[in-house]
Amino acid sequence: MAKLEVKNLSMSYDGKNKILEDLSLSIQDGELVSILGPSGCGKTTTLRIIAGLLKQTDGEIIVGEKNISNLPVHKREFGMVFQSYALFPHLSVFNNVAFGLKMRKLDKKQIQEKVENVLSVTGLSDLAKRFPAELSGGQQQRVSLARALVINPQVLLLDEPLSNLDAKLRVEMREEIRRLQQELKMTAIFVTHDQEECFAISDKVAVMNRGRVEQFDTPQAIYQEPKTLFVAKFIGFENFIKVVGYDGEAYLTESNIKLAAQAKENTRYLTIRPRQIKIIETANDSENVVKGRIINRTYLGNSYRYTVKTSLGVLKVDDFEHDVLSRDEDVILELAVKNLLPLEN
Amino acid sequence: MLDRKNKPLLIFGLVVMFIILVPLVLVVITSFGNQPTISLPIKGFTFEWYKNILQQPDFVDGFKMSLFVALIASFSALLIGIPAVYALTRYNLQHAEWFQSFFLSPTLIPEIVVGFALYQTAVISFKLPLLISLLVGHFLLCLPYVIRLVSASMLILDPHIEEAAWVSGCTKGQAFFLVVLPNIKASVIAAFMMCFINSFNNIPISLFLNGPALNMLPTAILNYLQNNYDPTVSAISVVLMIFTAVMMWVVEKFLGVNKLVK
Amino acid sequence: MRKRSAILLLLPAFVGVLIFTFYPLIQIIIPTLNQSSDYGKLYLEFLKSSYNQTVIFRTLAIALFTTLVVLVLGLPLAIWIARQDEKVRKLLSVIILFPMLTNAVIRNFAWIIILGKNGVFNDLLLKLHLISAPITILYTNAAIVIGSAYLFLPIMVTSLVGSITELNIETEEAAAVLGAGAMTNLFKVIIPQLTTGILTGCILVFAGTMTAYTTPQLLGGNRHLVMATLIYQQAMTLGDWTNASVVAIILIILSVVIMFAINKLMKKLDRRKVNA
Ligand SMILES: Nc1ncnc2c1ncn2[C@@H]1O[C@H](COP(=O)(O)OP(=O)(O)OP(=O)(O)O)[C@@H](O)[C@H]1O
Ligand SMILES: [Mg+2]
Repeated sequence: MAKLEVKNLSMSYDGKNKILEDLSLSIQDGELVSILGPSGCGKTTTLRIIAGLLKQTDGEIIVGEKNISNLPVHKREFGMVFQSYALFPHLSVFNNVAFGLKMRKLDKKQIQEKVENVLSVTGLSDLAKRFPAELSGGQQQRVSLARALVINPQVLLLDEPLSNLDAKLRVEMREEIRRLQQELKMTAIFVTHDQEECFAISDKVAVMNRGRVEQFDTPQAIYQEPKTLFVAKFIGFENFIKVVGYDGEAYLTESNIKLAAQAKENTRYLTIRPRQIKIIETANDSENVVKGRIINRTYLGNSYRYTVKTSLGVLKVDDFEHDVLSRDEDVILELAVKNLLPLEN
Repeated sequence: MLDRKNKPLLIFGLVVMFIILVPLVLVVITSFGNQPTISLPIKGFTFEWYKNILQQPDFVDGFKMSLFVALIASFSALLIGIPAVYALTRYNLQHAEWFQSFFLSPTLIPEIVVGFALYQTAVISFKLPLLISLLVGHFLLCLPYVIRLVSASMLILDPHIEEAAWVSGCTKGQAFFLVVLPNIKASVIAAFMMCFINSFNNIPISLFLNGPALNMLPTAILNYLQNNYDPTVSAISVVLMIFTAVMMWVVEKFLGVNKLVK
Repeated sequence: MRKRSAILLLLPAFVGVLIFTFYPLIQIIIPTLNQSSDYGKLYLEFLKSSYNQTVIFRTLAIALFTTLVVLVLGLPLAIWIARQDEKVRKLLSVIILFPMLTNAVIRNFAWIIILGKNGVFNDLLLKLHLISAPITILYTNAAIVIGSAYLFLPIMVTSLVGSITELNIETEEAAAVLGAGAMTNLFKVIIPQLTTGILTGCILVFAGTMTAYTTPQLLGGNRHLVMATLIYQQAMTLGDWTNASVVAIILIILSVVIMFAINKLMKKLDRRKVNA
């Protein structure tokens, strides 16, 4: 268990296309950090470089105080959980878990003790004699986790460990992983492309896009204050207003309308959640009010989703206070300053 | 419908099975006949011809030599073929398919030509001893079986289990022997058996590469048969059939005979 | 680094095949081309001789007939085996496998016992008074076809049983419901779905028969040479290694061309996988 530092990682499989570019992460001792991002953004690549299964083109990996950038995979003392579980089909559950200990030449008694211990923590004690083919997906997943944990790894690496499980088991297992990680005070990196999953269990989240970390923050910060257009889109913001300048008080939109919002450098867009846009009765003098016409309405259960055409562009608005409005009705929208978030590109 | 209950199909099937088995049964029967030449029905009953096998140095030495060559050729095909398969299936090579066809290419060349060409290259040009040349020829016969059978099972095996072994602290070599090999064991054994049987039975390759002191059993039988027509041939045939049956039984016991043809 | 270890692993097999398969081929080709200023001279001479033409024609004809016999016997047998219960199917497959793994000399020898002048077959015909004197079957082309068919039938059946068990029997039931009888089903439903399996089997049988040495040697005798036995005769009996090489090269070219042609045909005929 140790602090993990990834510095300026670059990676290219073919020498031309850069899959990772200048990627840095810093993970404190005992922290669980998720890497979140769309398919193909380089999550697995990052994890495999950290594990030593791939060699970076550039950059460093430091565990504790030790630079392990050039250490071969089998000397890194990491634990890894694979998406396919990658259990050894020819070994029993016990021997799967004992494998890493045997490689470390521990004596029989110690191995027995440690394996039994980890099997009981992961709830596998009764299955020790079974073979992987005789286990359910969730059980295989646990074995894979136990195998990674038993060597008491410096860092635990998990690559989409839950994606082969059904929805219910997924929730159960992610809580289990979180519990074990906290109990053992394990430094862990968890790769996923499921936003909910990663918010639920992480201390911090690194949102990746095209081989770069776009934002590295706590789940709360990412949810409430996405920094870039990509992050905002990825976690579900839907309204994006392009801005072209800032005059010291307000942003100037493409359509020449002034919108007040928190000042921030490099801002290219403003965003606001559909339910934070208020439908108001009469246009008051305050800033950030815009007129529009409803062009579509969808019932969402506890609210109505209106698509409103405004001079700022088409905005999505969720409303659960007013009576039902219908198509072609004119409305006045208020985009409160505190809810408008500035985004970088 | 052409299912199990279809009468004509049933009759046809039984007849063809009969045709397949009867010739071999006849061989067995003739091996016990009393007359000096093979004839049916047999008169009397004797084991004389089986004893006579041992009087034929060509058969006895041939059997030993064939066994030796088949074993060495099969082992070397595994020893050289498996690393190649590993590289083809685990290294993401650009021309993996090309290499695969290259390694299978000896099957495209008629065996008689393999022996004929090898004789000129290995024996005449390279001046290799006859035995070495013979082993090379049989190695070429075996290699494609190893490539085909082992790579099929390497492709099925999850490549991540090896990585899991590395992460657990194995070197590449340890991971291969501790994790990969145990999981492709069945295909390795199947490949070995196919190599062994085909090498042991081969005639065309040995034909050009055998010599006075290098007598292979099948060619010995072939020669004997061209000069004699007595039940000794039947007897040695029966012995070889028992040999084959025992091998099949062993394979069936350990991995199922159907693995051999997949 | 990774590249280097991949190369190291491939190298022994690569060098082995290169030096002992491809180099020897080149080595036998060169003398056949260099004998005179005219590169193709030896080949033209060889092909002009009517004796050689007969040998080539015999080789191809025997391979063709063998393939047909094997197909006609093997397909229904394979269907029959494939349609059995798992257990019976396995047993039958093992029985088929046994001759396949038995030495070719033994299997040919069995047919010598049957087809010879005083063989089982002649005996039978005489006893049934179908003939009055033994007929000659052994040492004819027919004997070679019979022996080869016996040699290759198990291979065809094994390969077909595999593809037939993969067929969805419901396609036949669907056809039966629509009024197709057993024969219609065979030709209109089963065989079209089996083109790949059948043609793969045909490649094996045709190429195998065409290049086989043992069977024509034992069952054809000296007067019914095929290309494989001709190579041996030219080289070992007549000592004409160059001419033997010419035959060898022609044999390779013929068998490879035929295999590729059937392969092409197979790809063309099998349209099931277009969308896969
Ligand atoms: N062995 C390889 N050779 C070449 N390119 C590769 C290789 N592996 C991955 N890539 C490319 O690198 C990029 C990142 O791949 P990576 O597997 O890291 O993505 P990921 O974020 O894990 O995606 P997913 O969510 O689908 O697992 C992709 O564009 C992929 O095509
Ligand atoms: Mg991935």
